[in-house]
Amino acid sequence: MVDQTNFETWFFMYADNELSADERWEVEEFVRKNPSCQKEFDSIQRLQFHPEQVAFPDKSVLLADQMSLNDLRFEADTSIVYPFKQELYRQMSLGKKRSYYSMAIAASMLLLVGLFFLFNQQEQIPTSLPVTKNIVQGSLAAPQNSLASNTVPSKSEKLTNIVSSRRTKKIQLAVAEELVLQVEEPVIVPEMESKSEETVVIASTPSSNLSEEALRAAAYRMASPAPTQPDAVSINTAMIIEASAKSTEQGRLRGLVRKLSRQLFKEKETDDQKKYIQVASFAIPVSNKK
Amino acid sequence: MTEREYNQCVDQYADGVYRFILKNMQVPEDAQDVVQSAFEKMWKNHQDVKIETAKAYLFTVAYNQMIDHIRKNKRMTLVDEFSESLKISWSKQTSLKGELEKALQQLTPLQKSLILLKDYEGYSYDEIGKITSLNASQVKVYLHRARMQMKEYIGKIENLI
Repeated sequence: MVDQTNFETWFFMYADNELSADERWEVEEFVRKNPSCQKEFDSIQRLQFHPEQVAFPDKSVLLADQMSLNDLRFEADTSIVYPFKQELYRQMSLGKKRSYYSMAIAASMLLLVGLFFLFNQQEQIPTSLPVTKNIVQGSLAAPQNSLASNTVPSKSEKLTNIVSSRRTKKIQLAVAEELVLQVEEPVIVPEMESKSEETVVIASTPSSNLSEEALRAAAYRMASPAPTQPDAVSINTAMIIEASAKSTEQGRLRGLVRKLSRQLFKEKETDDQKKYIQVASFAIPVSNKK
Repeated sequence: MTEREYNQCVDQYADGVYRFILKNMQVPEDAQDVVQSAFEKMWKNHQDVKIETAKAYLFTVAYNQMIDHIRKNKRMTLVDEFSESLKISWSKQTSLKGELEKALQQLTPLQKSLILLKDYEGYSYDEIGKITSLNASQVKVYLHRARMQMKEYIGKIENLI
């Protein structure tokens, strides 16, 4: 039934010629009774396309004769073969082999590096554990011993540390090697000595090897820190590294080096006789003989 | 379908299919290609296709091939539509036929096909649905929506003028 709510649909169906004769009459009657809908009805009716005289240009190409020509196709002559197929195979396989080679080399290198680190860690663990244990036990007694023995050196015999850091990435190793050096005539500012902190002097002649004297100096140095300042040595090292970093314009590395040195450089005493320099998890024994 | 019947189909339906496709695609060469390949397909299957259903078969095949063609060249079609709409905005043609043509070109290929199959060929909703893979009520709704769009478009053009 056509009404005010659905007349548009009816108008469209009227235009589409989808209505029966009765329905068409009903729509026409509705428009007659509602003149306001006349405009809508007309506008929908004129949205009609009327067939135009368009002809396919050349129908002969569509006829059966022409179409059957398309059926005439060449059959593939399988007796014709490419004569140098072997060359193609070889080239292709070579290319593949090359790529496998490079991948295999890369994979094996990765494996080797991985294994190296794995075994390296496994070796470190058993050696480092007992030493650190000893150090922890010994560290409690160490300050008292150093007080009792009263081995604080005189001003003239004051030992100083000289560190010359190298410009390599393995800076911690370089520091470990060149840490300790005795200086006969220290260029020391007197006010600094009065303070409890250890005096820092940069040596005019840097040493490259661990000499007997250097080891002895290290022994003195380990005995020297005051019991109230167990970290004095490490702080001192950091300061030296900082100073040398400034002088060699390695400001970028300064912070990193300081952190590394704090972590890596710990000197500990197990008891009166045996002393160690701890580098990372390694504890290097230092002889106490003069 | 015999060879003779097939040739009858060419005489009877080639123009109608071509007109339907050409109105949709706008490019005569493309429309001719689509019509030709539709007839090729019917020729290949002429043993199975019956003469009674040949017209619907042709329109269905041609419609599907046209949609494929449009999808492949979608970018070009979009550019064409854009330039066309620009032209419409600035031209002041007032003839109803010209307006209708332009309004038709604003529609999607499906909407165009629905309108042309209805108006040119006088197909019922059901028959159109078979060609375009829709059901009759979908055809009805889509067709009315398309006509509504055209009506609105023409209204806008009239307002512009």
